Amino acid sequence: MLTIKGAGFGLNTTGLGLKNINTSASLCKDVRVTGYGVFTCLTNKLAVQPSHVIKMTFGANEIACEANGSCSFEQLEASSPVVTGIAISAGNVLTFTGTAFPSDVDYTLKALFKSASVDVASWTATEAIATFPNGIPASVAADNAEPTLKFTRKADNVIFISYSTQTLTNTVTVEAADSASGLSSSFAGGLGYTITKANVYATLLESGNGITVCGNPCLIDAT
Amino acid sequence: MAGTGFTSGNTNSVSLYVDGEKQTTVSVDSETSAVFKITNVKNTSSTNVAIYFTDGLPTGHASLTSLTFNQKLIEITPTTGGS
Repeated sequence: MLTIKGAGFGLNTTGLGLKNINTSASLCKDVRVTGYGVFTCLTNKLAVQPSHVIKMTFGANEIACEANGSCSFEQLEASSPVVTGIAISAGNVLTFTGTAFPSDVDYTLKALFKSASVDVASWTATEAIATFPNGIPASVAADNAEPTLKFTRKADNVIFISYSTQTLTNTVTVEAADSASGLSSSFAGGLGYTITKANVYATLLESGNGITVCGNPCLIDAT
Repeated sequence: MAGTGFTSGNTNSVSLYVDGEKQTTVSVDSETSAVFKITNVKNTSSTNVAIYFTDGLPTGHASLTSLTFNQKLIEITPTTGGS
């Protein structure tokens, strides 16, 4: 994940990116403007040499680094961690398998899936198990959602992102038996209503949906 | 910004607002020009632009209808990563 500082764009700006001028490749898989003159770039899977020239793109425009700026970037393919397999279990556990996962002595690790993320304390060179306390967001095939590992080297905060080569579907269905029934509330409301179903909370967070009773939104408290 | 009636040397005498946000008045070099730094805008251009003097909107303020900003690239961090 790169952070790009510049000027002349803001939160409503779309069409920003980075381009490797030497290879004409686009660097960014995902771009998000986080404030005036700042955006983040989740890099694509490609090698970038330190001698390569990187320019910011805005539509068809290519903007060179300011003379007093610092815009060199090197992205290594060799020895990078690779996620080759993903499995979901126990409702909220993702098991990542792969190769070249760096040591948990030298790195920290965050597992991500859609909007959910969780820190992973320990792992091996080939396996990392992530338990998402709020569950794993629902996902359908069309989402093409890729579970991702983000390794951060403790010494210098260099980040290594590893996407899974598999996308993950995760069906979340709530049925009548999953929630309380026969409840009686005071006219003023405020009654607790419990839904017991794995991954519901994460799915609500992901989708921005909620639960309403007679059109009134409920406060959601995950336990 | 060019005009007349600026108070030379007084950066508090004129304010530029873009998208409702006050920008930084860098300098008022003379009675005919002021320099602003764009510090917070929502997009690469804006039609929500206003200029204020200490006694209010100046004559001709209505002619300032839009601004378009030049994009700059200053820094990329971190300098290394893996794919």
